[in-house]
Amino acid sequence: MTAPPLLQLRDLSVDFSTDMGIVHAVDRVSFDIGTDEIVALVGESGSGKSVIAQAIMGLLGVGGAGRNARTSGQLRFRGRDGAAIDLLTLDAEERRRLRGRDIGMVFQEPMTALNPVLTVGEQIAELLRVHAGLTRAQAAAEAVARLAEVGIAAPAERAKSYPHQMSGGMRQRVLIAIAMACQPLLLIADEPTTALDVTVQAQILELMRTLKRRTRMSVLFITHDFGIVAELADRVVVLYAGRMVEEGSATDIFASPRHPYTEGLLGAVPRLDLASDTIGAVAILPGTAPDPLAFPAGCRFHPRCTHARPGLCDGKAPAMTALAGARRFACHVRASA
Amino acid sequence: MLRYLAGKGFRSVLTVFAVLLITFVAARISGNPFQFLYDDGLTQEEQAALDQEFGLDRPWPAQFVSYLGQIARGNFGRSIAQRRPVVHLYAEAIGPTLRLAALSFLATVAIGLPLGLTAALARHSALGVAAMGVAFVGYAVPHFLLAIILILIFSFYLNWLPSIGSETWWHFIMPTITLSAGLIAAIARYLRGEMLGVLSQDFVRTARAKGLPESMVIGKHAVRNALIPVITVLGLKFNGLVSGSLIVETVFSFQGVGQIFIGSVQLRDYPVLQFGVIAFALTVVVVNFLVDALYAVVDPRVRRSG
Amino acid sequence: MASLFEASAAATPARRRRPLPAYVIILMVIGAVLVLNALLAPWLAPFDPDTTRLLRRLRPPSWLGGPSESWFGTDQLGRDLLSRCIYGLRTSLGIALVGTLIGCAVGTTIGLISGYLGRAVDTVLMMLVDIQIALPYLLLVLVGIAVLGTDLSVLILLISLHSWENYARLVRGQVLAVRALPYIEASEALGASTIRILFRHVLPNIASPLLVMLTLNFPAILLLESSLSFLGIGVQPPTASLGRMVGEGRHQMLAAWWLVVAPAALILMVTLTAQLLGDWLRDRLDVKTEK
Repeated sequence: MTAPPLLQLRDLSVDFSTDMGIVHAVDRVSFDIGTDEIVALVGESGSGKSVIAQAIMGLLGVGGAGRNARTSGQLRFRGRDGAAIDLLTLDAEERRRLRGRDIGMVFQEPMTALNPVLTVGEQIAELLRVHAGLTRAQAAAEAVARLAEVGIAAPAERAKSYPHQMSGGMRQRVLIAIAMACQPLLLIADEPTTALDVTVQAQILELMRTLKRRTRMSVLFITHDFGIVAELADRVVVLYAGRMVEEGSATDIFASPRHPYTEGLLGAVPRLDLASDTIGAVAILPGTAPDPLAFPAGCRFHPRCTHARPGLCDGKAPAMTALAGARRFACHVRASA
Repeated sequence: MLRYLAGKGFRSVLTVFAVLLITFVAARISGNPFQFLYDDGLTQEEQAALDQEFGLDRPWPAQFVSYLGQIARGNFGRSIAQRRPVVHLYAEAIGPTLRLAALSFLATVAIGLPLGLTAALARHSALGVAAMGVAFVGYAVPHFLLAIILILIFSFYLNWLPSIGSETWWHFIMPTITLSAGLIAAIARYLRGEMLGVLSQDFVRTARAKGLPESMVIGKHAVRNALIPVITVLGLKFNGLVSGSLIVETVFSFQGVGQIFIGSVQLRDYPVLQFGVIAFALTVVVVNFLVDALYAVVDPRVRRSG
Repeated sequence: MASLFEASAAATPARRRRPLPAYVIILMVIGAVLVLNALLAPWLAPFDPDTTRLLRRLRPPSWLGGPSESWFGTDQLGRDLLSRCIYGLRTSLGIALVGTLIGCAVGTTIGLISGYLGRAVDTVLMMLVDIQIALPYLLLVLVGIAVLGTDLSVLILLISLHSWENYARLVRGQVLAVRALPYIEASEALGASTIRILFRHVLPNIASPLLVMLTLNFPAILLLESSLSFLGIGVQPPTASLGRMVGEGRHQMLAAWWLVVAPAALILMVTLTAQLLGDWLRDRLDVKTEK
């Protein structure tokens, strides 16, 4: 990888203050997303992966539950002019202009992520008017072209449809068209296929691969499904309870996972023909995800870890151990082995 | 869709008919108009002559059938007390009532919607809490109390506004406030709740992720969705609005249709009473139709399935 | 027909118990004081509320230079205002409570029958709901009083007719929803009795929205009674009622403002308390209202 990375996360932390106390949802996470690279961010629900996505998007500060969020660290982003800026130092207006234009996002729930009272054409067109300054007519025509691009048949008619007239797979294509409308440098996909059935899942993944090849954008793909990771990702970052536990190329991680948690997850990979991802994952890993209000001391995984050593793993948090080939992992036991 | 409309239309006609029938019978059970008009008593002959003049000597079913025939020809009869066509009585009084209704509706929309939006968008600031407080008080204070409080302050204490009558625009200020306060509060409370619900929905997050300016996220994506159920509430509140206007007209001595209507109940002036009920029931039906139609305009999900 | 309430039936098990917010405790205390006042009226009221003393008419409250034994002053017939307020509270709370409960019972029953029997019965009963909506309620009351007289029981009956249709629609919707569940269909096929299904499956499901509806309906009914009494067609003299006291007092508003202010303040206190508690209960039980 010769080009400098598109996005560098450095010690990214996100705390939420809630009625019950402070939740350290993301704790000093650092990794890079290279140009033209697909990075998979893997973890169970509650591991902080969606929070990282929202932090990159700059959506934590606005409305909803994010009101009480505090973000620290650095998000160094190389824009279209090649200069790196820390996203966290930008003001709200500057971040808004990056959203949708340089960073696009596809969400998990195609059934609810589209506005029910606007035509899908308009939902794409408004974005082009805002970011690219197109006129109403230009934007409408462009929206039809974008729909065609994501493989929607009869795009001119479909542009006039409302979301409730479309299937889940089609809506997800529309959401991808929205995220890709301004040809962003980075696409964040937050479990975009979880809510879809298996055949549609495969189609959507194929579409994303095609689009990625054509546009050479970078992708941050969030999932808890190692089956998808294997199909799609160049590199993998594994999260557990808000902390990074392992990072490496997809090939390396699949060949020799270092962290016991990664091992557990890999053991839980669903076969595509079974495709009941969560059930598998729960069955293999003993115990349940920890309470975010009271994460265990030391290595947060130690209560569920079969290799855990008392006095070592419950003491202080494990540091990252670096290996050759840009591999890193955080485990007391494996680091000393 | 046509079948749906036809079915709804048929039900509405049936409802209006039933309401009329109930009123027709109940009014006749409750007493004869001439007992109230001439409270020093009538002789048997005088009573019989009057009954005959207005056709009240015939059996009720016969009266009802001929009344139906009459109104089918557009003739709503004459007032027994005033011996003038019913329609004229109402026509003379409809002006102030309509003006009051229109002003109250305008006030409701012009104040209620911004108040609800403020309460939702600024819910963590003093402004939002204040907006909600205003809405809450408006919601829990009954028409008659508000009217009394307003009169006490603005007519008696400050001497700024006239407390009775409907001659000038000044006369409409307190009645409008009285009548619309509850509605404003209801709309504001409801819109706030809807907005908070909509703001946490996925499509609003999508709109933000698209980098749309916040004004567009709120104005275009959130508000439109939040307004849809508010329309239903406006429709549901209509009956209450009419009852409220009866009270407002009484308190402020307004010469509106409410006064004529209440008078007709007290005097058992059957034709006037019946016309009032028909007009009210028809208005409810029309309002419901309008609400449905408006719903279809703003919510594409209803358009096809309806 | 959309049901007015939608309960999120999926309970949230074992959520951390949150303590009652301070304002709720204060409201509960105020509510309890008001209710106790109403219950203990004969012992608390310093005077008989109906005894007129024409020599002591329209006296201001004692702290404004009025007679020392009349804290709130006296009315146009020389009756002690404080005593009348206490008894008026008793009347208004009592009527509102009974009216609310009857309305709830009638509406719930009609909703159950309508939803369960379906077909013709349902059509007729829902027609009744439509009529209720299309009929000016005030007319219903006026005619009802004209036909049946101004007795207190008539008033309660008419008042209880005010919002039965809300309950009916809520319950009917729930019955229809529950009946469509596969296991209910199965137990019906197995011969479980109608009554059993209604009581075992339907009522527990609507307990929360029903409770919230009751709590929020109560202040509305109380305001209704006050409004009717204010207009002179509700509670009849000499019985003290808060609404009637405001209605009679308004003619003396210039000379004796306290006649209006004292009962008006009480009405506000009762309705605001009930309304706030109802709102809190709704949020707490997570019931969605559409009204």
